Amino acid sequence: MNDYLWDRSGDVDDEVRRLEELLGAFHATPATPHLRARRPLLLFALPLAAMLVLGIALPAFLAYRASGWRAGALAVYRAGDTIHARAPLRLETPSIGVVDVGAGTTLHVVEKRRLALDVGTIHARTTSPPGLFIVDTPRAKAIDLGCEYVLDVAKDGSGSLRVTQGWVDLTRGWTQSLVPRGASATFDKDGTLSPPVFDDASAAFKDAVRRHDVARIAALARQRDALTLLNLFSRTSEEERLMIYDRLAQLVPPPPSIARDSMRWWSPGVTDAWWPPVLKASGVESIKKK
Amino acid sequence: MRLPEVAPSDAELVLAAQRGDVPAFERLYARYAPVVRSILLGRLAAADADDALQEVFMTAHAKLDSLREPAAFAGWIARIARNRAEDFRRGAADTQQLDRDYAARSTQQESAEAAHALAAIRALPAAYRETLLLRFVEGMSGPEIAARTGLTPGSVRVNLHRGVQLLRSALDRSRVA
Repeated sequence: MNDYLWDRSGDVDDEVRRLEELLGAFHATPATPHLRARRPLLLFALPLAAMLVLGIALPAFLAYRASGWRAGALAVYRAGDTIHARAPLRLETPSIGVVDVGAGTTLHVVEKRRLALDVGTIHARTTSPPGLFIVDTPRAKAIDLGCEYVLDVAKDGSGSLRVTQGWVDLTRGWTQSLVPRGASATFDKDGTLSPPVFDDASAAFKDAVRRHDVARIAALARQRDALTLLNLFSRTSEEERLMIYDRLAQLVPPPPSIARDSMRWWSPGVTDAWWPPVLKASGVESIKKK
Repeated sequence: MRLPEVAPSDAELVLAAQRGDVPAFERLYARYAPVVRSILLGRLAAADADDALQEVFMTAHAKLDSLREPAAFAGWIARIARNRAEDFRRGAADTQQLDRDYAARSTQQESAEAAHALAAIRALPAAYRETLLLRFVEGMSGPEIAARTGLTPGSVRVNLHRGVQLLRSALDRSRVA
């Protein structure tokens, strides 16, 4: 073999030389392609891992969280869980809303829409339809009617409810207090519920309610306190009901269908027609269905 | 005394490039562009080969992490080049006319002869084709071809010798015709 073809040594082979000349026309030195700095694999892996987390793990985790009450970034409380809050804690669930739990509170998750407050304080702000969210206490239960409220329970089981938005139905057995925005109600260690009392009522009126002194209550009631009087029918004697009827009729005239004598045999439906004018006189909106 | 500089191996350059070292990849480009271009030129019009050359190396750069055996870079990029040439060739126009334009020799006759010789080489089996193009187009010597292609020097010798014989026969036949 001719060495010129191999390594251009030796005699020049004319034919090879001719091929070099002809085919040399196709020689080119294209510029190096413009290359962007590559990122090490790890830097690709991190965004990839992030995409996996966002695409798969995160939705699964969010679905898991949505099925319970979430607290902070990671904790999720589900039915059967007990929360002993040593420090203030915020619980959230999309279908209900937000519950801020005070320090020293013990709370159980009964089910997704029902909590049990043993002791301590919660501040609930709900977005759920009325009647869905319930908080049990040892002596009463608070049924959310679309609202914001603070519920406090002492170690002896007594407690108070203060409503800042909407309404709460505070109930124990057959006794009920419908508490509107701007009013509070209490329950004692024996489970006796107070009627709702507006926070701007006089101290004397509040004291009379606390003592269940019906005569004083009637005497001290303003027109706005008509709601308190209307709630007393379910927890008073016949004589007391007549006294309340007379005072309430002075503050808010009853509809013609509600006769004074009907107070002797009072039952829950008897005074229903009185509610709308009483609410109007008390300056609160009626319970809305969301 | 200054120690002689030792050229980094392909594997060292690949590993560095995988870590994001662009100059390392540019050294791989300088090392393998002639081989890749010969593969492409054996299948595509010269102008297309230049475009495809850029694409092959950009593809290789983007997929470098998939090369698990860094020392196998030469074979890996040759495969990319052959695949890319197949894709390109599906839409190829009149290759020989394009090559005449590309060669742009002093006379049209010379340009036509150059394109004709290239076409004859393209008609040879791949082993001869790529070896001859490395020798006549890229101007590499036999030992350089062996070093870049991974072929043994003996194989390169055979390919060159046999390839030139076949090329000569092909050109002779075309002259007679």
